[in-house]
Amino acid sequence: MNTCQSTVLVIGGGVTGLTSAVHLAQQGVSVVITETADRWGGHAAQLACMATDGCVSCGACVVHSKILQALSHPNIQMCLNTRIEAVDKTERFTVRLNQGHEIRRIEADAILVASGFTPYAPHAKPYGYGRFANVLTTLDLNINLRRHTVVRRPSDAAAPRRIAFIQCVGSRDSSINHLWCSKICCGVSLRMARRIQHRQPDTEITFFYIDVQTFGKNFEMYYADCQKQIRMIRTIPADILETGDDCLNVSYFNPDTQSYQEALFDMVVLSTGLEPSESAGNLAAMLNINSKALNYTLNPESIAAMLPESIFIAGAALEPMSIAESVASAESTAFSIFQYLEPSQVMPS
Amino acid sequence: MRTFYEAVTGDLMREQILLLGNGAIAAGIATSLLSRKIPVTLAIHNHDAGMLLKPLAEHPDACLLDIRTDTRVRHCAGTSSHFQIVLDQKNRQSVLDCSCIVIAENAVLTSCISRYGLKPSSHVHVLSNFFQNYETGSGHLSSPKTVAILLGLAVESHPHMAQTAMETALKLRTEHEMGMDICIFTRNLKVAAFGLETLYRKARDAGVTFIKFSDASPTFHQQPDGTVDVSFTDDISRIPFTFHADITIVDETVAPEPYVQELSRIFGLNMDAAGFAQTENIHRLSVCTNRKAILVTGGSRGVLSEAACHNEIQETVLTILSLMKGVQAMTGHKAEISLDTCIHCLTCYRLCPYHAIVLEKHPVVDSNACERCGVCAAECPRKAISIEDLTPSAISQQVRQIRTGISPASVTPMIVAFCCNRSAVQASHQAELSGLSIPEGVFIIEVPCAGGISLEYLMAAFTGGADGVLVVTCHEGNCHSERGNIMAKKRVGELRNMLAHIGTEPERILLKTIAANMPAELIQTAQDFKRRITNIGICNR
Repeated sequence: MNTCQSTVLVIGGGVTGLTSAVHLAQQGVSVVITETADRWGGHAAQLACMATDGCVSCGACVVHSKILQALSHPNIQMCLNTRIEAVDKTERFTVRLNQGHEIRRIEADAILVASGFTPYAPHAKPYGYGRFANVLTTLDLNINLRRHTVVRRPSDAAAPRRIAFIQCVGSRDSSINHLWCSKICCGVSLRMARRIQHRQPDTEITFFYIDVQTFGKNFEMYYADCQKQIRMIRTIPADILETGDDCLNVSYFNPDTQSYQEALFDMVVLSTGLEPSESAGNLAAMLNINSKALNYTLNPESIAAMLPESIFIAGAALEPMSIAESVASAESTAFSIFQYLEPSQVMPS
Repeated sequence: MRTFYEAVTGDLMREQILLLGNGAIAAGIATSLLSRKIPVTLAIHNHDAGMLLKPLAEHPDACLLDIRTDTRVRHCAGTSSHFQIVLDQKNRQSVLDCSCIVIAENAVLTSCISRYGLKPSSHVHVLSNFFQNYETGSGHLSSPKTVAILLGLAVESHPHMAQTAMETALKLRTEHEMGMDICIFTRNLKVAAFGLETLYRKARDAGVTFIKFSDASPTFHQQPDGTVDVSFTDDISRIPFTFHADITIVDETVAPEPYVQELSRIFGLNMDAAGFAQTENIHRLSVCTNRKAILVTGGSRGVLSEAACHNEIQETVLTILSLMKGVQAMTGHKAEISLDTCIHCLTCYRLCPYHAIVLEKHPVVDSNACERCGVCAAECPRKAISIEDLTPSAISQQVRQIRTGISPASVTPMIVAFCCNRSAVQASHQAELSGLSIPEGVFIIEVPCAGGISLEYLMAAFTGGADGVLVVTCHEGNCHSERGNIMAKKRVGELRNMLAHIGTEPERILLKTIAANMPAELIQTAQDFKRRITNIGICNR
């Protein structure tokens, strides 16, 4: 291996960071990848498989092969439990890494920010999240399904018979200045709903929504099936109250009857949107880049135009993205980085 | 300047790329490859090179570029090590040697005019080229007052189409004859792309009316003068309305270019339901196909948005560079055909999911394209194909080894679980990480793909002492070899029948599909199966 080759620091060990790291490493670039958590794979590694009779292409399982690829590549140094503490730029970047027990300094020629997203925390919405045991987010339910294979109510471990999904919680919402569609949530919820019905066929599911967003290549067919099996109501509920037996009373305006209505559910799933990563502001400050680059308000082209040439951003740090889109973004950005480094290095590995 | 791969290969001309396309993505890929001194043959099936391809002639390395118009691919022989492509240029055929093929054709937009029961007229336009037609006069009307945009009413729409619709409405509303009434009629307004929610709000605030339908649909009545009456019951107020549209703008559906489907057949690519040259299989992310070194990008794989164009170009060139470096190669022993036993029945040639078998004097496996799935070896009627570490006797050996480790006095049944490396094996690692363990007596034998689990494997497990055999493979649609899991299912079914025939319980064998992120299910499957076998009883001691 060439000793004077370039080094790239990848911040974030989710699908995007891992994919970029592997591609860069394969091109002979040396990579240091950092992750603040104590495990690899980011949000994707928490997700359950949504297959029913066959794969529904949610993409979550790809993360495991990405982790294996990264771990086995000699050009990649992997640092869990690691925070970026300071970044200095002279000719190269000098980055101080806090690894809990020790502080390390590394040098890098380019930095890729793959810090991903933070799921919207819906405590402030009138849905009782955090107060009512049986109100969950899609991420909560995902973690649950991965662990237990079937759905159980947190309050009493009973199988819920009536489940409501509420879409756009924290997305398309001017009251919190989230003027974006989080793109992935319709797919997440509908796949999850069908997956639950596949294992627990007696489950009645109601889906409260604004507009169902297209996902996947077979959307049309999948959606037609969903419309047959799921009660679709085009409204966003007003609020939720808990009943004495831990059920949930959801009130909403029913567009069919043009009237206010209430309905009881055993469990309510909030389809929470994506927010810029909670570390975004801090990272932007350390990297000395405009914080707008990491707050979902600019399109990727404008962001690329305002970044210094040695700093790159990919994946859900740029805008809400599915797993497949994150892989694409990671590959494309790995290529941009490679192009930037190319004159100085690039030797056969 | 020597590029890195010249240093590797030392052989420039062999690394020829065949690029098929005539749009922005083809132009971008060609430019990027040329700047890396990689020679490109650009075959365009139309008569003219598109506008975007013109500047390529000015490229400093244009000598490495061979542009051929009116040229179609007729035949493909060989594999990723060396493709031989028959190109047809106005009935003149020639053979091109290349190491990589990129399909970068645009998608085709088809107007929904007839789906809405409308006829083309100066009052009815198509969304994607509305301004072009409208402003060049043919469709220009004196002071139209009302505009209806029909979006996703016949077929579910797409963010790309929604964006065009909203931009068109906003432009008409703010830049053209002021005071026009513009209505967008839609079902699910697709805003799942950057900036569309803000665009929607901007259009709404500028006075564009959005009328959304859930179950009901509007009806269209076209007047003799070509204008259209859109009648509907408003979803919210339940009041019937008729909107008389001086101009109606109709959306389009997206389909693959018919040539892409022809190419898919020639190259043996698995297509998706719509006919794009890439299935939704997650192993194909982002621009790969079932064939090594045949890539598919942009409109040929169903990606439409202009914003994604730049990404598509970069992903494609990166994948080409990786292929050239050989970094994506599957390591390990590859399939080999024994010429002594082969009777040239070509079963392997037909079944190889990767088209890694080349017909020379005899069928030969191209080790570069072989992915070790074992489909050929399992299906060969003469048993003429083997993969060194995956022969039935190698499997038999593994089973015997497991058996010797078990005490003859043990009352726990011995279960062999054939696990696919890409799903079940990873799930078992995930299980370990979360503190779940495979039940005692269940032994995993890892295989690269369930498509290679032959009847001999299954028999070897039973004859080697297993009381039950579990086959755990990927979900349908998630198999790297596309159909390996389905073949495994078929063989398990066959063995069940055979077991029943010889008086052994067919329940002793089970196939389950699982994904890498289903650790809990894997453990549960193993536990349930172990319980089942315990109930049936130990048969082999």
